[in-house]
Amino acid sequence: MLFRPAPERPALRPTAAAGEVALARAAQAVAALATAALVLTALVAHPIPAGDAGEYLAMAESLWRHGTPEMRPGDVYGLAAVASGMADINFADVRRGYFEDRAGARLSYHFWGYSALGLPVRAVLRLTGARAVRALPLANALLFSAALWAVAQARRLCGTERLALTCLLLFSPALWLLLWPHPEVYTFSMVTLALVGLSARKLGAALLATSAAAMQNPPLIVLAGAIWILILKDRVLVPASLAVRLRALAPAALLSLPAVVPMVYFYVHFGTPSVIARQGGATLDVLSLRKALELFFDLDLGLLPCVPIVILAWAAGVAVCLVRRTVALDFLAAAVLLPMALMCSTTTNWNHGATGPSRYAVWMTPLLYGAFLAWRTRLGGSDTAPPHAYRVLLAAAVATQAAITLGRGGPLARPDYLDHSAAARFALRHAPTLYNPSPEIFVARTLHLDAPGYLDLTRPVLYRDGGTCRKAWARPEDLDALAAACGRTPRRERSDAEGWSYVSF
Amino acid sequence: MTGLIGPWRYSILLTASLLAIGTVSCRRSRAASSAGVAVRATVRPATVAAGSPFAVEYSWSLEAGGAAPPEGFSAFVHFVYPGGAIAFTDDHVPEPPPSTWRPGETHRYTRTLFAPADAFADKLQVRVGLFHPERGRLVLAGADVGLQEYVAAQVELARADSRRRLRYGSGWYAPEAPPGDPFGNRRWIQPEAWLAFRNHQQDVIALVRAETNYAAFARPPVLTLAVGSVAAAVPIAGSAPFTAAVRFPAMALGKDRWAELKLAMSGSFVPSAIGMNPDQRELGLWVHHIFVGPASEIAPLLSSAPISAAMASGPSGGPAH
Repeated sequence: MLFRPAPERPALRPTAAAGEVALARAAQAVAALATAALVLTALVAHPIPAGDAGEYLAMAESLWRHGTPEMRPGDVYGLAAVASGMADINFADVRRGYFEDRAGARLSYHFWGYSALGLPVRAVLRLTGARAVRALPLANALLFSAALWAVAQARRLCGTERLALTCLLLFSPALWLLLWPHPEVYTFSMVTLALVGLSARKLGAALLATSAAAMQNPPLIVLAGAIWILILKDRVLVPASLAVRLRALAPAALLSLPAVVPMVYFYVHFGTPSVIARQGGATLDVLSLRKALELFFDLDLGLLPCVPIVILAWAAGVAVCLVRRTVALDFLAAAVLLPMALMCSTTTNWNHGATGPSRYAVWMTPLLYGAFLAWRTRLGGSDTAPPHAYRVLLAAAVATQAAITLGRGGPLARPDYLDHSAAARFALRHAPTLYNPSPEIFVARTLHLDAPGYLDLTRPVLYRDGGTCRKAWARPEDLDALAAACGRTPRRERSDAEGWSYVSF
Repeated sequence: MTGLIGPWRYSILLTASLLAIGTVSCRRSRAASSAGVAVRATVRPATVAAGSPFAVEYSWSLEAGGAAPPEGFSAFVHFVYPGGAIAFTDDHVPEPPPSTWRPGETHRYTRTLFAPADAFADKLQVRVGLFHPERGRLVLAGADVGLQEYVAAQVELARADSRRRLRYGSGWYAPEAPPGDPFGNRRWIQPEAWLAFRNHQQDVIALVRAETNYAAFARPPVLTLAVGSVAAAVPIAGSAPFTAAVRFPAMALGKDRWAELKLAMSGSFVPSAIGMNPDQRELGLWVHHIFVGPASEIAPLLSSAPISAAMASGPSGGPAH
């Protein structure tokens, strides 16, 4: 057998130690305080309508006004009115995501499920006289809080883990997206709930949460598939009558429906299960392992600069599994995360609107936190209490993340996807040859320019740091001009098929 | 204590309701009394393709015995969808200003407008009125459709005409539609930008409505529109939006199926570098609308003759306004 399963993880057993009970209570206290802070922030701070937020707001407006996601003139006008002075929406950007269906109705190529979630919240806001444009951020706050509560009360985790994971989730990059009327916090929360369900072996609940998450982010179908394997293994491929096995299969199929609804909806309206793919927003032509790995390790749009200890621990854990030929949580997480990341890499707008890491990476973090638990066994955990080294690791991860997340302004962090991150700037200053991201990332963030259609990837792009040339994306024929402009001859690195390459100074 | 809350709550609600009614009444009373003004508008052509220019001739009449509106009144013009949503506007000061009108006079003038490129196809009402920043709206002669708005004309908005499609080349930033112009499609350009249009081997007029931040330029900015070696310079007189029309002869367009129009600004600015806002882009001109079409179709829509483009060293046009 190539891989053998790791021993039963004591981390998933409840502990009776008094200290652990206190820590579990502390986790609930953190969840309570966080709920208050998240809701208050959503009610006070202005929404951040970046990325595709305008589309989700427009769909919410349409659903509110006439019960369908079709964009009508009054919806545009109505949204402009409700967002006035609170959220600067670029309606040209919004319209770019709308296409006419077979009947001539203008529909977004994103699914409206998340927007529909905001309707009951908007109804409550209306009663209180609050601005309707806050509905989706408030829905984010409520879902985020639900995820925190679920972890803070997860019985399969010890007190230390409940507290650490609650804090890790709270100070995750999802906090930066709280005020975005965008489905990342929703997806992040659903993935978290699914993992809590999985840990409690509530496979139905886990499948429903995952399917609901996949409704807005289809790569999560991979996680749904993994849960299906467990359901088949535990409940269908067991010695039982056909009727019993079918009874186990039927609810699972029903709980998977949310993941399929968008495809059916788009097929009915447009004759294709994905309008995004048909419009060129995603294509297998650009699928790449390099881009998939960038979601985790790139210094600009990857998770590494945002959750460094968790990412490094995950990578190390996977390496340990490969060397020892064992299966642990981090290895399983990689088996789910890598296919999902590959699916994400099919997007053509790679340097998309974000604050901190790529939006795709944000909803992957709960899986990485889950993978973190594998270190309890590795660091010598016992049944009664988690080992000291494990506690230190968790504490270090929480402290680092809190510093990074709050240091960028917490939920008030502004979109920064058109600038190099602090980590990338550091690398470009001190070791430019070591940082070679996908050209789209380097070009967009060096030129501070948005959207793939408006990026000119045919001209050399030079990154300067305080007037000093550091790195450029160029062809051989540009080198003389670069040398003249910078006063130094650049070092040429490996080039692509068309002769383009990074050069460093 | 609970017993007190109920009556108090009702008192507060009642007071608030009365105040609200009072506020509405005040708003209504802000409408100035009738000045005997009537307005009509004629739209040409009656059906306009999204993104295309069209002409509106406004006709303001002050009846005999009527009093001219006080100083400071200007026209609001809303192009309104059947559901009440405003597609776009053409607020402006009538020519001449209303305060100079005399009883029995009728004043006509033509304005060239653009149907927004992304507007929904539908029949729009052209609702017009007069308003003053402090005095509110003026009651005019005619049927009020609410809030002192008067239907002066109708226009059929059609889908964009694929024959007049433009291909945006380099130098253009992503489209923008701010909340005040949600159906618009504005684009900033770099100091130079190119776009291609279908060449039908006939004279064309390039029509541009744009603005820039005049104060950001060290010297008064100049916009140059060029097709090949034929060009026209358009000095920009201020930060207000302006419309420029430049006629290019057929011979300048060459023989290819597509001809290329170049927009060049005499300078540029980076907002973040001059402390305006965090925008780090190099900006030249904010183009609200641009259209290139046969001169025979466009010329009748203009209120004044277009600038004639000439060989690059030729004469320049007058200031844009």
